[in-house]
Amino acid sequence: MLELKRLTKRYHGRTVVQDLDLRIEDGELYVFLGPNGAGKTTTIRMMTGLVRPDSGSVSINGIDLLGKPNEAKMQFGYMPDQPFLYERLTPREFLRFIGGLYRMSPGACDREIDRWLDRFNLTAFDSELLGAFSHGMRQKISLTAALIHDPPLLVVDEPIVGLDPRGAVTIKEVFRERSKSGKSAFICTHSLDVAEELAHRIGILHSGVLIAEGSIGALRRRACMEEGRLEEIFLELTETQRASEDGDVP
Amino acid sequence: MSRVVLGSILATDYRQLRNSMTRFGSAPFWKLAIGLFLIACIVITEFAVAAELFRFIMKQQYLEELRFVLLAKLLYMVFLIFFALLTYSNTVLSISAFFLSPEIDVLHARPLKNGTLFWKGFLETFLGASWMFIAFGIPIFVAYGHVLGQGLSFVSGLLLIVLWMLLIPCGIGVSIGITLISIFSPRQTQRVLMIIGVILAVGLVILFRWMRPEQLIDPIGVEQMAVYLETLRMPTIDWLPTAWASEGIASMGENRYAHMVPEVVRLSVVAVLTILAARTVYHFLWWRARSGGQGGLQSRRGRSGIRARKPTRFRMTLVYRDFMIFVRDPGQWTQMVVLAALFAIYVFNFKNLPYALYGFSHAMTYIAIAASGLIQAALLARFAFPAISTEGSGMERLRSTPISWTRYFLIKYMQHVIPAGIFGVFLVVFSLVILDIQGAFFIRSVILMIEISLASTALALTIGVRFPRFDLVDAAQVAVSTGGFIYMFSALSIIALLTFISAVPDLIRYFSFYTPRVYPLLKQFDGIGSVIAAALVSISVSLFAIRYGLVALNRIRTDHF
Repeated sequence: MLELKRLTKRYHGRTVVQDLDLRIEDGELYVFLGPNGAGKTTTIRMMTGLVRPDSGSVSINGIDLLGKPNEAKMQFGYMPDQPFLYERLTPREFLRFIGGLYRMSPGACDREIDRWLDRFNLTAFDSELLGAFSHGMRQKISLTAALIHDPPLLVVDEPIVGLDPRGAVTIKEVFRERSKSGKSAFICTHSLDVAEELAHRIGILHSGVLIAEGSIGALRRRACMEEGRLEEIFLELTETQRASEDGDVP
Repeated sequence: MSRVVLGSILATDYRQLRNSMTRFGSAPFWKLAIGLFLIACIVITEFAVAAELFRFIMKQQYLEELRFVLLAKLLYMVFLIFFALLTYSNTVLSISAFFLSPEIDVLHARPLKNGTLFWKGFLETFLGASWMFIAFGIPIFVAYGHVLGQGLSFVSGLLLIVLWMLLIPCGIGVSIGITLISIFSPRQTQRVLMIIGVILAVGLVILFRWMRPEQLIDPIGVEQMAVYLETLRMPTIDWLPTAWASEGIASMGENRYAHMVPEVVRLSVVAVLTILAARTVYHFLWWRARSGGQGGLQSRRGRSGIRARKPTRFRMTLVYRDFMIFVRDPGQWTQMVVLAALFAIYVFNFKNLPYALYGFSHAMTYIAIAASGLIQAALLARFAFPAISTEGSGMERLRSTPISWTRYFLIKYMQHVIPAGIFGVFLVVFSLVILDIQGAFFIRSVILMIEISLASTALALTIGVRFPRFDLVDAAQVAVSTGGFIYMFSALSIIALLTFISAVPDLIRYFSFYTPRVYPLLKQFDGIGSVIAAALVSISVSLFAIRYGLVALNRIRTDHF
């Protein structure tokens, strides 16, 4: 379970994320949406311990990220939107290294590597250098690095971008399977189709504030729409918010 | 636990190195071999020169004990210079190691002890900054020991001193780097440091030239050396680690090994203290520095520095873009400092010409023009030659727009030939004034410089198109690629050819003393004839180069990217 309480971050006097309260239950697939510059990436960076919040707290499975960072970090796997991979390592060498950081034994690590490389059809590229990998292949390796220690929570930023259809289907299957076994995921994306297809709940961030949260049905009601796809709901909610910020709506 | 994980991170660095040596055929091996060979050549030359200098001082028997004082002062100077350079480079590298490296996110999102990341960053900074001292500093000290008849015990003591000596600037640099980032953003800090670095490097070169090291080979000998050292005006400050290190090495050189122990103890204590200070600064300021740096883009949104109206015409669009990139990239405009240094050294050299040479004013003028052409070619290699390569992957976008490549190439040509020509002519006019040249020869010399500028610029652009390096972001790296060497060779050839053609009348006059019967025939070539011939060669080379450059530009395919 992930819990963010009154999470706030300011940069040079400008509030990027403001009093963000958020809770993700075990097995839940939570999709985080928002326009560019809404503060999604900053939220993710605070959740993963890459940036310290100015105030508020992050706890994962009851472990405070700021108080016990290493214990909390054992509870999640993180896949950034532009993954950094060591260009001069092979996938196996890179994944063994990542497994080592989570104190995995070499045997367990190799078993997981074999499983995921096979799942993502990358076994044939086992001995190639990562520098030669395409964007989609890098995405798969980056996701494997986040999954290798089988964490209860997965934090992913734009997981589907650049993937071939088969790769995209596989990743969505992985999310669903993990969800069934009680493992949750926090997915940040601009792809509304993916959100519609996967999400148990959706959160919409605008100018650092969570303006709406809930299932698609709940969001539809919030937007006062009887029908319509997530795209229309998203546009309606964010436009209304922008108009109210600009003072166009009383 | 911390140590185990640090070991695993370091093992990953090793694996990367190993893979890069074994996975790309024999090319990396040869690159490494050539690199090592060049370093070995430099080290051996440095050792030989330093040993010769130390021997020279030791031969001056009448100076007695003063010889050792002079040697110790030299060692101190070397240490002081390296210490300043090491502190600077450790500061710059610490910013990359602790803040800018993309690896940081990968590691920080994992359950690692805070100390592990400090030691990883510290070690990376230490190795990155210290290898140059190990390669280029140690041979000087080994030469010192060799001249004074010392053996392996000297080398062991030297390594011990150097180890502590290298750790001190690393500790200081890491502390400064982290503190600076807690105040400014990493990019801002690195740019400011880069500018300071260029100015420091240029200052060192100018200082060295101003000291006139050629006086060392003056027959007056060591007296000059003493004056030379005096002119450095560097006081020996006893409480600086550099003084302890040089004192330690000097003691070993004079067989007083017991005297080096307190120096090593002092160095080691200070080294440990600076590392602890760096660790403390990291503990208290790293998070603040990192969190402050993340919002740099957001907080500066809408402020991009220099602004100007958007130009509408194609020519202006291109010039405007190149100008803005130049102004906003300190890596580009700081080269102007280097340019100023080149000019200052040129002026200094020319003003200090021996009076005996003033009798050969025409010969000296040709040498001045060739030297100016050489400086200009070096500038063109840095700016005009990479002009196409620095388009980078943007070239693909340019190709998708309806632009005229002929106009594009000609605009690039004009953009470089005008400033390069003005600079070259300025250098030549300065030399002519010093040499008191007037009249027709003055005009001929200026025309020759213009001819050289036209041809050199055309060659720079054309060879730049023929050998593009779209994979390199830094223009300085492009300039030292294979194409850069080919350009420099071509530019030198054309400078030599044009200077020779222009000098023919003077050569004829000179040889007429020996061949009086031929002189009336050759005299026809005098004056205007050589100017026209040189102009024809220059224009032909320029036109041919531009034509060839255009063909090459049209041939650039997207598979370059």
